[in-house]
Amino acid sequence: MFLQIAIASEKAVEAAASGGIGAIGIDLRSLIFQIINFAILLLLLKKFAYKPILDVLENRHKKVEESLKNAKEIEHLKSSLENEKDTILKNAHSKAQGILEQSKKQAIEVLATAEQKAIERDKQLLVAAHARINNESEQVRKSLLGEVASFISKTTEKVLNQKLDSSTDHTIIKEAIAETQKNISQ
Amino acid sequence: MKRFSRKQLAVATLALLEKHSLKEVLPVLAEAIIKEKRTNEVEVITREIGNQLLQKKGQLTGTIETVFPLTEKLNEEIEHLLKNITEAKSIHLKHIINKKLVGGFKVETPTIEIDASLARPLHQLNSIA
Repeated sequence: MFLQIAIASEKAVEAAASGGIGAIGIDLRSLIFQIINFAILLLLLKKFAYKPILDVLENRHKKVEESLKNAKEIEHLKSSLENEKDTILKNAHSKAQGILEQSKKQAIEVLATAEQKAIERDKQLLVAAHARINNESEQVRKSLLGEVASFISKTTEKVLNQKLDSSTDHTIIKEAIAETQKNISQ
Repeated sequence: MKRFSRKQLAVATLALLEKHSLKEVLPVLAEAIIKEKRTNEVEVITREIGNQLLQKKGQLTGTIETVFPLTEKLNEEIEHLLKNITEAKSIHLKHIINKKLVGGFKVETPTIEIDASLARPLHQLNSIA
């Protein structure tokens, strides 16, 4: 191909030298060679320099974009996590508050129940103590009454046995007859 | 053998007493009671005889207990009282001196019992103990 271009340029140079551009002082051959050189340089640069650089740039651009995308995703994820964390914390706080409230309520109920039970037990103990005291005092009263009655009975019997004479006894009998008669009449 | 009722025994005893003396009747009655194995009913049978005696003949029999012997007047008053109560025509009381009565009197007949002794309230008082 270069050979064909060189032959063509040689033909062009010959044609130019015979007139036209050569007439204005431009070396057509040199110009063609420079164009060819430039083209070759351009091709070489395009093939070995521009493309790798562009590829590198493109890759870097892609990486940067990817990084930015990742960063955005991370940011989004972070925000989402933050939200989730807030929600979890809020829920946990709410649950903890609920548990605390319930615990307080239960504690109050337990205390109230225990207090009520204690009051009931105290009442029962009081009633039992009253009953026991009443029972004991009743027993003491009966015992005392019995002792007093026994004492009076024995003493009266002794006194009457010693002091009661026939005359007094007859008076008592008369009164008893009158009393019985009165009861019959009624 | 047919078992007699207490009332039948009492009526039969009274019928026998109209014709025979007490000394003759008593062994017959005792034999009948022993034969019928009713010795534990002696007291009740005796009371029934007294009751029948009161119903059929108007005679009231029983005992009177006092601490001291009774005067005639008091005895009459007590008999009068018993006549008023039982409507008996005649009263036959066996007098017993009983110092345990302390004072007053106690009458026991088949139909009534009057305890006007001083021992009774004393026993009642004592029973509280």
